[in-house]
Amino acid sequence: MQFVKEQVAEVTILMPQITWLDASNVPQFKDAIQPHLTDKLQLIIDLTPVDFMDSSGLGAMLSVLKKVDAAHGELKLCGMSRKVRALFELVRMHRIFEIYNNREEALKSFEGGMEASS
Amino acid sequence: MLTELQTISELQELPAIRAYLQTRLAGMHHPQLTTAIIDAVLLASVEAVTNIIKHAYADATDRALRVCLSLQDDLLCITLLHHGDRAMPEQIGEPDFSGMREDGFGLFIIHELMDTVTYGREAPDWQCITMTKSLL
Repeated sequence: MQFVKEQVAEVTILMPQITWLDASNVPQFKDAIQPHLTDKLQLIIDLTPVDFMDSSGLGAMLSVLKKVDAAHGELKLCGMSRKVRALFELVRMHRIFEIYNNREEALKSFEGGMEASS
Repeated sequence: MLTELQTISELQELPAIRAYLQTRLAGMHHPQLTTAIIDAVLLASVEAVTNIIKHAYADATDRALRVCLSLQDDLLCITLLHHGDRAMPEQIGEPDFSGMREDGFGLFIIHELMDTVTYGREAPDWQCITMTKSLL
């Protein structure tokens, strides 16, 4: 599994190159993202390509969130499709994650992200 | 209308199962079968199949799994048949909504998205999970 990686100042943006995230590919997702999870990481995961996610995929996002939190970093999600967003709302995870419509809004939410993206 | 997919208890089959259901649902042309309902049925089905593979079959691969879809009298019905352990949903508690647990959402999602979910037997050796959605 591959990610398109973009660095905007201190913020790392990862966009997984998958159209679904479910129990069939969550182990590969976790393995692939692990090397990117460094200390004090300011991370945006852009889910634009992901058209379908199940609770296993959502669990993988929680796993990333816990690792980023433990390493004193910040995680924000963006680019969710309508149905992926509906899943997060169904299990109330929209209250746990910081979710933005797109990467520009996510970048602005980071302190200094506005200057970095301009 | 009744259609059936015979497959195996392998998580790598999930995308194919979802694609199969998506194609069949799209071909039903029922006026109340909206995109939102199709999305809900697909998610509930993936969650239920995953539970069968992980729990009823304890991750054993190459075990039989049948996915049946029917539409009769405005009632959409998905029946999943397997030879694994009987489901005991009554022993599953509420999910943890605090974000501390990464699993335990599947059953909740299934029950939230579908109108009815029942567990039983079909023939002596097939366990079945039947999920319905009214299109009225």
